[in-house]
Amino acid sequence: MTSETPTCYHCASALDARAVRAELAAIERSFCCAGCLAAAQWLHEGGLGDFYRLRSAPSLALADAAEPDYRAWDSPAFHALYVRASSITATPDGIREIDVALDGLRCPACAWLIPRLGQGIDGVLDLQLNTATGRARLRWDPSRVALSGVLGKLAQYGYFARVALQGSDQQRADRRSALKRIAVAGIAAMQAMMMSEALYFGGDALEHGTRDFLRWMALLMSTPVVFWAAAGFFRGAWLELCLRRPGMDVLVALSVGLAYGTSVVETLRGGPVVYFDAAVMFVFFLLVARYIESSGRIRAQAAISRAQSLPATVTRISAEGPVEVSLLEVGVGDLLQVAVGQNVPVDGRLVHTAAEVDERLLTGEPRPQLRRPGDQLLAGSIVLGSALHIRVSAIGAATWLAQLETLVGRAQQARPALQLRAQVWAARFVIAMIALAAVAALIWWQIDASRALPVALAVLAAACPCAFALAIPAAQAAAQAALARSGVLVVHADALERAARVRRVVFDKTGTLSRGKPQLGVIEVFDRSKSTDECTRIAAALERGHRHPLAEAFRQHDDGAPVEQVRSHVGDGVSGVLAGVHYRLGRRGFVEGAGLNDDGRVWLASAERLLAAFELHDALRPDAADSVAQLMADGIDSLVLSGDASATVRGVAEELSIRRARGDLRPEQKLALLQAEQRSGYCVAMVGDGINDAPVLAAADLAVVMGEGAALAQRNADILLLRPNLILVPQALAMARRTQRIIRQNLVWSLAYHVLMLPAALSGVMPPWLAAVGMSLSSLLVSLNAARLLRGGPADPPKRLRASASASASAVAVRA
Amino acid sequence: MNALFILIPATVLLVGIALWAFFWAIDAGQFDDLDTPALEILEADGSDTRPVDEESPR
Repeated sequence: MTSETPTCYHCASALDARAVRAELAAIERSFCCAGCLAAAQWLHEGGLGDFYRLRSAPSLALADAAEPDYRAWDSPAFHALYVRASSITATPDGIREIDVALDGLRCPACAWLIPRLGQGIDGVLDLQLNTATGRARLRWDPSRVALSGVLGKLAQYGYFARVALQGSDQQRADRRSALKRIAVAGIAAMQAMMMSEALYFGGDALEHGTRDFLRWMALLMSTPVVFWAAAGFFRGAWLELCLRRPGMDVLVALSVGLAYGTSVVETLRGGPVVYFDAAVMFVFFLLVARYIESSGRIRAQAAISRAQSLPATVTRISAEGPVEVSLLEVGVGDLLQVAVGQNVPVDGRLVHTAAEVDERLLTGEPRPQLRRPGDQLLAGSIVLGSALHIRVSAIGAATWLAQLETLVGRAQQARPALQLRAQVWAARFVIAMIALAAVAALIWWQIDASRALPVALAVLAAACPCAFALAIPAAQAAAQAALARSGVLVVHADALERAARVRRVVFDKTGTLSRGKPQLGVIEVFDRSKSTDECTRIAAALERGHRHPLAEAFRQHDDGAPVEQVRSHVGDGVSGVLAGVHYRLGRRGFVEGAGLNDDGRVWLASAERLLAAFELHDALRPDAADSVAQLMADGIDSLVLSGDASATVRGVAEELSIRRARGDLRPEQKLALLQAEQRSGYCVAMVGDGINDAPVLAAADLAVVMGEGAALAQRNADILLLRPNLILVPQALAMARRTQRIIRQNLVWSLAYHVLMLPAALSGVMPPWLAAVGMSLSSLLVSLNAARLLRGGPADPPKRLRASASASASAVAVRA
Repeated sequence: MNALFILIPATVLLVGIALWAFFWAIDAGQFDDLDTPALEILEADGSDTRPVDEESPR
């Protein structure tokens, strides 16, 4: 394990110059930063060193970002909304309870650690975590410790609390109710089966008294199953009939109702045969299949909702000055102050001064946007440059961001076209099968009247297209859950189906293959009287105060020399006066004179002469090469179509051994090239990062958008990568292909099943109970087959660990 | 066959008790989280006495 590049003991990210070494439990270990060291030391001192043995993914890196401020969580308004008295009656008065959603859960060891962290904090009674939903329930004594203190402590270890929205109680109630129904149906089904066996095998040898007794007992057992456990099927059937789209609930309700109804009549009048067993077995197996399907769906939803963030506190400017308040207390018309680097929490109008904001999350536009006083600011934009003041115009669900999130949510609810087609077929199939059962009953009535009903029941049970109806949604839900777990959000309902067919992946260089954070490369100096260093410092001074990605490259060289008359020339560069000399910095055409071709470098000139040219290169993402190689191995060609300088693009393409790469493309040219690929018969996926590519993304068969953080507003995206890991692209495509394979298997199986079972049922060879068992087992098989998608990650673990560790450093970080 | 007339009602009674117990367990939250308890067996007596003897855990 020590042979590879050294990594941090705590977060497993690669060590750099800042690394520290320290002794921990008598063994010397390396850490990437003091924060990770402190976290590891605390864990060991607290006797929680087992964490490192139990975990299966590295912890979040604890780096530079600000520690979240939980002070507003102590406000009475917040408590009134989210905090309640302890629900456990035996606890003393004054104990409070809250449900929070925790970010940063990576593996089961976190579930092991979190309750122990709770025990280590004075005043915390207990802290329970449900790993399935990522929610924790905290019970604490407010007189001994503040809520913000507890949550701040958790944040130090990389677990960030957010308000848990409603839904968990409803889900828990549903889950409990489903389990109870399964229990009743299962136990009653076994009992009814035993009595039916006695009735079948006893045959005519049974005395009538014993026979009737067994029947009455079976009736007693089946009644709660049919009227309570199966109530959902009857409700569903009624709904389907009201919507005039008969589906499987109609068939289930019909066969259960028919089997139970006739059996009751037969019991009362002492008729020849009863079918209680068929009715209850059917209900039991169906409930189990549905339970498995819905737990998969709930897991998927939990993973998705964890990806969304809810800002908790804001600074409100009141008569007494700035006050930190909960976002919930903010009303329309309030004046808020938003600090540099923070998300704007509401929609509103800018007041006082102009400001630059980054609307990447909303629009995908990576360049800073200038907003003047009175301009509209949208929730979700990030403040650049300087703190700003905003007059609130919309909050909560009324914000643009919230409306976009609703759009995304709606897309998740939408059924894929294939599934809709399957439902239409199912409805026709159901009508045909009811007719077939009636015809079969009529024919058998002529042959042997006593067998008409069993045959009709067997046909109905064998015809139920449960497996068929489950084949697609079960696989889709499992795939979405597995993908969401690794940070891939399937936004468009048809996305998986299309992703499975992708044979070409088009990358847009900036921000996708590269980090989008340029670094200084080769510096060419033209003026012999100046050193490289001097030129760099001049450039850094000129770029000071600018938030462009390019300016970032110079930041570390800034020595604070005073600079005057700085002017920004949009699209060209900057100019300013430094120590009495006027300088220009920017594109070659701007600096040296119009008409010269842009070569991708940043040029610096004084009023008299040209000084230097800086080469800026954008470091490749660490997993770019792996991703391209993986795509190649999967038979998918990668292309680069970029608006960047051709030379740069070629360099990147060579490094990644991508054969086809074009630079200097305008959007319409990109579009034309992409459509040419499509015309030659390939299904093309476009991986992009923003609105620059919007038309191209829209034209691609599959639009993959890399959104760091909560870029949920990307309306063009079919698939969102919530982490900036390129390796997710081949993984998502591979998962899509596995999903389609599973769906095909499921469809083939359920069709084959019907083809085999129907003749057997029609000919009267198969008793109704066997048809019910076969039908239920077949839908169980389909559900379990789909659940295979949940197991096993999309890639081999070590690679994924490395990738997620580097991602977490950029996604969420905290100062310890 | 007379045994049946006693044994089957007894079974029904047992089924009732079993279901009641199961319902109680569900309502007490025993089935709410089936993943976390699997790790509780890994707890020692609350103190970590075993040294961690690998450079990189698992």
